[in-house]
Parts: sequence; C-alpha cells; structure tokens
Amino acid sequence: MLHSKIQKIVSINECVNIMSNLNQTGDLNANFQHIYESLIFEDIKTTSGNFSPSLKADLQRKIAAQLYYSNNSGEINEDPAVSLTLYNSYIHKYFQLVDEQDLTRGLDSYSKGALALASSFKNESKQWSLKDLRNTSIFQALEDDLTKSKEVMNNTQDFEKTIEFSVQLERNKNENEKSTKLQVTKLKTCEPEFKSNPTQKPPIVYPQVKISSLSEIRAEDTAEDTGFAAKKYPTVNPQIRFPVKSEIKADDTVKPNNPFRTAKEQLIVEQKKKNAGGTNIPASNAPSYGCRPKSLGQRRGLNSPFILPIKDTKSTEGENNVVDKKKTGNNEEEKVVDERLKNIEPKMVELIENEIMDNGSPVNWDDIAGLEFAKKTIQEIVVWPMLRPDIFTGLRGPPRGILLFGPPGTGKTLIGKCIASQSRSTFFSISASSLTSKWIGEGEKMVRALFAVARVNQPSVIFIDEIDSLLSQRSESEHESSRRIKTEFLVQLDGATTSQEDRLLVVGATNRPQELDEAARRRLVKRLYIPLPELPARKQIIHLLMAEQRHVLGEDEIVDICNRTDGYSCADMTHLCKEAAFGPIRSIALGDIEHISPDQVRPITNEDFDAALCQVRASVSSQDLDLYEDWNRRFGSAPK
Amino acid sequence: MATAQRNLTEEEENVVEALDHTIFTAIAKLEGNGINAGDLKKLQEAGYHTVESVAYVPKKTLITIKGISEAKADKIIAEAQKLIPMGFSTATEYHQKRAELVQVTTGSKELDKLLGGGIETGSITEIFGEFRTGKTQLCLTLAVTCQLPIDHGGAEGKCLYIDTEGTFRPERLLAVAERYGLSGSDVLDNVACARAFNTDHQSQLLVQASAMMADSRYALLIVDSATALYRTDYSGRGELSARQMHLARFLRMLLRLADEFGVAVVITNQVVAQVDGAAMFAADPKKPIGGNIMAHASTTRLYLRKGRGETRICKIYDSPCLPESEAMFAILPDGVGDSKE
Repeated sequence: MLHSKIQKIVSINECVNIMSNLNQTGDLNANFQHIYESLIFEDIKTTSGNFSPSLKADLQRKIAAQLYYSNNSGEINEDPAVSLTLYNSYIHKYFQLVDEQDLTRGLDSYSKGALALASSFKNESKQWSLKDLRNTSIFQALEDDLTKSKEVMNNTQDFEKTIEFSVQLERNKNENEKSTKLQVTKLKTCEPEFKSNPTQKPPIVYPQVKISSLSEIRAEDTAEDTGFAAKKYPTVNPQIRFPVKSEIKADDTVKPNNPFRTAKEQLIVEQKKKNAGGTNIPASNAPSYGCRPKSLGQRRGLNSPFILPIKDTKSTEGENNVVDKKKTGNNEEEKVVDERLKNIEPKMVELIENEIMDNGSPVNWDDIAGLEFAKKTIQEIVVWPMLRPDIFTGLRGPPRGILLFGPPGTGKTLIGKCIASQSRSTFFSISASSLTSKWIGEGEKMVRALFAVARVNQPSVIFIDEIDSLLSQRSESEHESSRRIKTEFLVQLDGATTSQEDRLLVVGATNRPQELDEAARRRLVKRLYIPLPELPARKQIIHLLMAEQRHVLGEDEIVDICNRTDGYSCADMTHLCKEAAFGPIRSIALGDIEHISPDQVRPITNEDFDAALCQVRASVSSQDLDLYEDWNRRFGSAPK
Repeated sequence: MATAQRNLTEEEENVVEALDHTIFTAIAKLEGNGINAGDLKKLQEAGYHTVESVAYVPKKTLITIKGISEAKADKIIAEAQKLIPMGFSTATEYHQKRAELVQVTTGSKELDKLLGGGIETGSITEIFGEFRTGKTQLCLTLAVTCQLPIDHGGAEGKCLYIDTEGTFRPERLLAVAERYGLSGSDVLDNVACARAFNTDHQSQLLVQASAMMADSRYALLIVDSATALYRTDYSGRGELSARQMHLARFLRMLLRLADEFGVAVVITNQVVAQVDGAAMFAADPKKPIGGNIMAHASTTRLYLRKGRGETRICKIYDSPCLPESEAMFAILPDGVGDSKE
C-alpha cells in the first residue's frame, strides 16, 4: 500500500521534473498541455470503465497536481479563478474517493497507511503540530489566495456565505500576521465554521495529515505539496464557489466589455449630445422614443431575445388599418400586371395607358352624313364581331387593319371618333408623338408596349390619325430610328408573334395613301375611300347643321346651295354653314350687339349663303381627287 | 436577487429556444465525452459559440486558441463532426433548402425584383459605390426590414450593425419603422450597433458578435463599411499583403457567421477611381477596393450609382445566380423605396 503511494508521488514528481526541465527550454506551455490533456483523457477512460478506485484516485490527484503546478507557474491559465475551480473539482472528487467507506467504490481512509507513519497525529487534530511544515510558505500561499478570493468575491455581493467565510479567513489571516507564527488553534477556529455548514464535506483534515506524512517521506517536495494543500483554504467549498464563478463570467464577458449597444442607447446618447450644446430645444419633430419612462423588468438590452416590433393592436388599431389598406392596394396593383406586360417597362405601360380614350363627345353613326359604304364596312368589322364574337371566327374573323383615306375634311377622323364611342372596346388614339422618343430604341419599345397593352385590354381598337407620319414609304434617306419604329409596327401588326385570336383592330386615317409603305398597305386590309360628299350627303350636312339654328331656307334653296357646292368637302360645308350663320350677326349694328337678345337675331337666309359661298371655296382640287380615285381603283376596297 | 436573475436568464433561454427554428447548434452540446466546460469556455472566449463554428474551422486555428492542445483539438473536431453533417447531399436537398431561404426586403420593389426577392440570408452581399449613392441608407433600411415578419419580407430577427465611418443614425431607423407601422422603440432595441475604431477592433467585434448571435436570434449583420479602416490602417504597397491577409481573415469570419447562424451579411465597400491612362477611355472609371480578396469573398456584389434627383441605380456586378441587370430605386424620407417616376 505504502509502496504504491510512494510510486504515485514519484510519478507526480516526475511530471514536475519534466515540467521544470521544459521550463528551462521554454517549451513548457504546449507540452504541459499535452500531458495534462492526456491525463484527462485517461481520467475519462477510468471513470467510464471499471477501474479500481485507487487508480482513479491516483489519476485525479495527478490532474490536480498538474493544475496546481500550472496555476503556480502562471503559464497555463491567466485566469486563476478558472483553474482554481477546476482544481477544486478534481481534488473534491479525489477526496470523495478517498473518504468512501465502501471499499468497492472508494478507498476507505486512503490515508491509513500514511497515518500509520505519522501515528502520533492520527485523528488528533486538536493536537496538530505543524512545526515541521514551513509556515511561511503556507501562509504566503494562503494570503495570495485570500486576496484573489477577495477580488472574486467583491464582484458579487450576493453570496453572504462566501463573504462570511472570507471574513473569517481574513480575520484568521490578520491574527496570524500579528502573531507572526502560525498557531494550530487559529486554524482550528476555522474548522467549526466549516463543520457548521451542512453542505461541506469534512475532508480538510486528510490532506493535512497526508501532507504532513509526505513531508516526512520526501522532504524536498514538501514545499510544493504544502502549498498545494494550503491552496484549498479559500476555495474549500466548491458548491459555494461555482455560482460565484458563473457570476464573474456573466459580468466580465458580457456587460462591461461588450462594445455593442442597442440603437436606442445610441439614440439617447446622440440626443444628449445635441442637447448639451446649450440649445435645450426638445426634438419635438422626432418622436421621443428613448425618453419613454421605463418600468422595471421591461428594459431590453443587448442580450434580450428578439421581439417582433409590431405595434400593439389595441393601442394603434388605426395605424394597422392603414398598413392593411396599403397592403390591399399593393395587391391590386400586382393583379393588374399581366403576364404579357412583364417584359415591358411599367413606365411605358403607363404612358400607353394614358392614350386610352374613354371619354369625349359621343358620336353616332347618324352624325356621319353619307359614306354609307364606309359606315357599313366598319360596322361589319367593328360592331358585329363585338356583338357576336362566336360567329366572327376563323375565316369570318374580322380584318386587323382598316385604312381610311380620302381628301382632307371628309370625316375620316369623325369615323374614328364614332368607332371609339360605339364599339365599346378599348380605344387607343395614337399619334406619332405618343410613340417617338428622344432615346434610341425607346420608340420601338413604345410600339411594342402599345400592342402589348392593347392585347391585354382586348377587344381594342388602335386609331392612328395621319398614319402616313408613322408608316411612310421606307427609303434609304430616312433616319434609322424612324425606320425601326416602322418595322416594329409592321411586326406587331402581323408578325410571327401575333395570334389570330387577338381581337385587335388598327384603324389608320390618312390623306396621302400613296405615301404609305407597301407592307403597311398590305396589313391594312380594308382600304376605304372616303370621298367628297355627294349631293345628298351635302344636303344632309346642311340639314344637320341647320337643325339647331333658326333659318328660313326652303328645300329648293338648300338643293340649290348643294348644287353650287359641288367639290366641297364636309369640312368646307361646315365652314360654309358657319360663315352663313355669321351673316345675321354681321347685319346687326355694332352698337346693338351688346343688348340684343338671341331671339332678336334674324334667321339665316339664302342671301347669307350667297355671301358665304363667295367667302368659302372648295379646298380640294380636282387633280387631288383624281389621285385618290386612281389609288382607290388600284388598292381600295370599293363596293361593286 | 441572484436567484431572481438566474431565473430571468433561464426564462430568456426558454424564449430563445421557443424562437429556435435557428440552424445552429449551441456549443454546449459538445460537453461530455472528454470535452469539459473549461474547454468550451476557452472556445467561447475565442469566438466559437456553435458546434458548426468548431466543425468548420481548420485544426490549425483551433490549436492557436490558448489552452487547447493538439490532442484536445482533435477530440473537439471529431465530436463536432459527429454532430454536424459535413458530407455530400443531393442537389434536390440543396434546392429545397434554397427555396426555403429567407430573403430580406430592401424596401424597394424594383430592387427586390432585381435581387430575386431581397437580400439573401446566409451569404455575404457587398454594396459598393461612390459617396451619396445610398449605401448607408440601404443598410439602415435593411436594419429595420429584417425585423419584419417573414411573410412581409423580413426575417424576424435582430440586427447587428458595425459602423466604421460613424454614419449610424438611429433617427433614420425610426423613420423607416414608421413607414412599416412598427413600434419604434422595439425596432431600436432590436438593433445592436458598435463603432469600430481600427481594423483589429473591427475583427474583434465579430468575436463578440458571434457570442451575441448564439444568444438571441439575429437575422442581419451589417458592416458599414468593411474597408474604410483598411484604407487608412494600411498604406502603400509595402503593407498591401498584410492588409489583404487581414481583410481576408475578416471576410472569412463574416462568411463563418453567415454559415453558422444563417444571418444575412451586408457589407459596404468604397470605390477607387482609376486614374491611369487606360481608364480615360472607360465610361465609369471606378472600381471597388479590396481587390480580388473582396471580390471573391462576397457572394453578391451590387454597384450603386447616382440617378436623377433622389433616384439611385443598382447594378448586379457579380452574383452566382442573378443576371447582370439594373434597377432603379429612390432614397425617400422613410428609407429606400421605389422611385415615383
């Protein structure tokens, strides 16, 4: 028994020796760690496996010794509290093994053999004599540890037990200082304190005794071993110390050293800085979030868990509603965005959507005088397919393009307006200005956007007045960008991407059909000549215009006027009637114009028309008419 | 009182666990089987707070931690690798994971569309551009939007803000919070900010950051700007190598945080004008600083430039999956939004 113990001690000493050697070579740290770790791994093996208690105790003591050494040399761990706790835990385990009465689990008075050597001291703690121990070294160590423990304890005011304990120890120390020499009785004063503590185990005696015996066995090692023994005084009860340690950890690592702070703290600091400048104006516009009075326990710091910053539903119901409204608004917006529009810039879509004409004065087919063939064709193409989309499919599908051409002022634009108000489809009124752009490439994109929007809003009619401005003959001298717009238009009108199912109608109006590009001409399938009004049409115009005015024209007179206005366009006719309507006004004396009532103005007479006919001449020449008629014969769709 | 405090921390832990659909494993799981609390404490002090962090780090680095021997390092790595799957998995799984990936909205629909939903979590997004191109404003907006519920484009997590230029303004956070109808006070509480004073400090802050991320749920880490201090702390070609190495380590740490905690990492970067002869012909002679190290480290790189008025243009400079294209956003009184044109 004794032999084995001595061996153990030898092994520790070996370690120590190795270490001191290594220390000289300066390579201690890493190697010490290695030894320590391997010891610990061995320890784990033994605790898990079925090893003899003596082996376990041996290992634990070895580890404790290593720790102690490391702590003393100060090279291993700069934090004494950590290694002390570790050391305590191992020594504690060791004591438990040694003190265990049951021989299967422990060693039952491990110190028996040692005590046999030191029989005079056996269990006679009252008569302990520590003369042979080097008192100074013990108390040096004790003192060191006391200061350490004091530092540790100063951090925590919560552990009265510990403080009491330290006070006790301090008192001890002071007394010792006074008496300069250690009195055994002084040490004993501590002991009742320990024993009164129920959680505390009574092992203190054993290491004392053991060490004293060791000191006899190997005198040269006593210095270290006694220091080792003395070490445990301030930390004798690990149960008390552990929470202390955790407190230190929490305090040291998180609070004072943490460079992070919450944005609220930062805001408060900034506000303070601002106010410190002498201007004590409270930041009235900024909501004073930081200044809200805080109640205990609700204050949140860096380590508080994440809390969703959603406002209380009760207090801020109104605002939530606003948010909800916004959300629903967004959803609606998203709904509008069609699959077909996703490749097109939303800005362009918006621009095109602005061209959709949905109001304006309603125009009836009856408001258009004459032009029976044109009206009938357009109704066929636009109105009927709207009413019976099931019939107008396949071969009967409506054409995609109509070209209205003819001399100026014959009602092409009016037909467009009429389509807009009668067709009940989305009506885009497009001119060159709405498609061209100063940026290269934008114009083509606009055309593309136009057709995409039109497809999304089917059925739709795209009316392009003065289509020759957009789709004039392509030539070598023209600018590249205008050419690209043209080609894009042609592609969109009837290209690879267009489908037969699209209910899309392009209506172009021009008075220079001969300038149109031939490809555009091909795509505008129905080319309707809008001629100058015939005699019945002119008569109808006069009737329509005169319906709202008082006049004394007889039927014969009207026919006479109509006969005299051969070659007049509808616009000319309108102008003529306007001019004639001014006749009665002109006959009023200048002074009376202010007082005369509308009833007193004389009705329009034939003479007024005579005068007006001198003023208004036909605006279309016969050569021009020949041109149109020639073109109509070659390309136009005419009734048989 | 001490017990009360402990109860409180326990409660907090419970809350954290309740929120815990997080992806990381606390390092405490390693305890036992040869690794004791002391070792774990050492690891934590060195900035390793999750099992992932230990598993992902090379052994060489672990050994440099004070108090960890080679034997211990081997043991720790072996234990960590048991807990963390580090092998191959199928693309299907990856795809599924990526489909579930939370993205933080930038506040601008256009920009979100460009980014495919927003700032990606679990990766590094670098924003660079000249001054007044909206880098900081974007960061401040993100600091709030990351707190939004997930179905509103947020990530339901706190934000950690490392400020190197002194441009952090809590007032802006309040303005953004107002816009989203959030409680300003809570929003501010959920943002942890720190000022970095030098490059070493900047790296040091990340160690602290990983501790905080292990503590409570963070969704976003912002470094505004990541390179400003490097520009002055290291100067000239002589120190170039040292600077780049330091920067690389810093970025590696950021990547580690992104991997471990699944946070979105947003860093801003400054630009340098190319003044040499060849640059004269280039239309936009500005380059992000940090060189190749920075370029390789960031997953997504966004280039901001000034547009008309309050509008800014964001261009995808580099991304593993996004096409190179541009989007326009605006800097409004309540943070980043869509331009009104």
